[in-house]
Amino acid sequence: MRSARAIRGARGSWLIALPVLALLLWTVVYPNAAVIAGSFENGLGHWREFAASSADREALTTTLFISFASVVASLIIGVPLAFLLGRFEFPGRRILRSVATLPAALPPLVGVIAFLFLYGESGLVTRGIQRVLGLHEAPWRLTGVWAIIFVHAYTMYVYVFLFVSAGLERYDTTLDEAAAGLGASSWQRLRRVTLPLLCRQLRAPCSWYS
Amino acid sequence: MSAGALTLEGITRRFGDHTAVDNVSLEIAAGELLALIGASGSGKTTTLRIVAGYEVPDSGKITLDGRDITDLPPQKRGFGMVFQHYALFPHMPVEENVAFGLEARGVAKAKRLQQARSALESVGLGGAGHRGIQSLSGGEQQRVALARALVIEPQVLLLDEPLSNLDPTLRQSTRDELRAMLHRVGVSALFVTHDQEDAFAIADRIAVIRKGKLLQVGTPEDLYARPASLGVASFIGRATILHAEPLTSSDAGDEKMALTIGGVRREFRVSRAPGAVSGDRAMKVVLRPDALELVSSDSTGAWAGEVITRRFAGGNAVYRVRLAGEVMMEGESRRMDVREGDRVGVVISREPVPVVEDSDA
Repeated sequence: MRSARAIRGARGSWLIALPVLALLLWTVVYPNAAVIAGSFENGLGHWREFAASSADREALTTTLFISFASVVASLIIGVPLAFLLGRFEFPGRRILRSVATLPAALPPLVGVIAFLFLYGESGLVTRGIQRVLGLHEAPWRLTGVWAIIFVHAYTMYVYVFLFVSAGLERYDTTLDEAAAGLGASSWQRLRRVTLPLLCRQLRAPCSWYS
Repeated sequence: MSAGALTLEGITRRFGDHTAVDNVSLEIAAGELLALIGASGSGKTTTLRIVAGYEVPDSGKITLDGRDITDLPPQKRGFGMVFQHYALFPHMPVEENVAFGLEARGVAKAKRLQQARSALESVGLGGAGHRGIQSLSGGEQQRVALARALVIEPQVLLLDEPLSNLDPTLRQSTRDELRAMLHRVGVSALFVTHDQEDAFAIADRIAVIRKGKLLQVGTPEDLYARPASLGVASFIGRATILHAEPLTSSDAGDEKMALTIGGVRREFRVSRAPGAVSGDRAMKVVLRPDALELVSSDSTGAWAGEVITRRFAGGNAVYRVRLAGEVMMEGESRRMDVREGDRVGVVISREPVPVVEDSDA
């Protein structure tokens, strides 16, 4: 039988949860539901129109590609960085850990402007390389899909880094020791034990891109 | 499975100013079960980790069958290890856990799973191969960890407090099973524990470690009946340890001592452990509960006192008796009719009585 205190506790939880639920309904569920419902106001007309438009199809495939490539690029930067700064002891490690999380503190607009100042066609780094190599024009142009992926990777790797770092801090290192004792090489330990266990930490940041 | 002979020679490991393992030398014969026993922080786990290859000693040498393995990483030693909390891989089913060491050695999938299943059969977990680790009880996890360590046919098995997570009933039955299994498999084993009952039940020999130093290595009987130092006498078994008066020269074959409590003087034969120091320092006698007997308080030559506590222990009872001068003595008796507050007498019922030097070692 549930005690009176447990019932009061359950009521208390609902009182706290109700405003949060209301906020989620208003800001997340309602706008998404409105968009989905709106897409069917003309039957399947809007969907047919979308499928027939090559520009819309290209926009969709480009978006999917940018999402996928941004996730891969962020993983390539964030995961090794988290291992380097989480598993190895060296002078300046704590300072580097703070520096690695800096992009999270920058507003996205500031990040983009900083990128243009540094890597844009007339950016500091671009001009410097052009001068050093004696080129007639800028070695690259920060435009198009690859530029977006570059900026995404720079600004979003930090979430991968933070999640993997948190996972590594909670990680039971005796599992790696057990694997080593059983004869597994460093690569086998990483592939069969460490990374599969860290995967659940990586699901959240990866889903943000999609 | 071929058991290996393991030797530690002068192993030392320091962490900053703290010496965790201090010049430890130890030999484990092929097929022998040796327990390394000590209190928390005594250096026993660090010693085990050095043997496993997880820690590198600052000095000293480890050899296996005469081959120097001091600098070999854990994955190249080929030892099996059972961790205190088992360290089973939570994302793999039981049989994949057991087969992991074979997978690392490149054994084909079908063959390694077949070997894993037979290893599970041998620990009484046949048919549990597809279960998840989280669904296993503590005792089952311990057996899976053992199967995983043994399936790679190690020359040496290392066990870190393997029974500490089991409930008391399961722990008792597992001790006997573990000893029988390790002898059946024929592997050399080093296991660390803080529980002397685990060590007594499983090991052929026991090494006592304290503050990083090895105090004594011997059979359980040796350590109990012939402790080499005060540290061993107080750590192994229960004992009343008291200063006594030497009667004859320590060089004499039949050494005697006397103990006077409340004006009653008793003389008795004493024995020292082979190789124990026989200097000029004061000596203490180690009176085990089973070497003392409760008699009536007016018996001639008995130390009279009052029963403070009584503990039922199956076929007998253990009594804590307060003698004159606040001397507390613990004695066993088959008499069950004595109660707290009763006046009793205590006599020494078995000689020689072990004697140790009064020093903090």
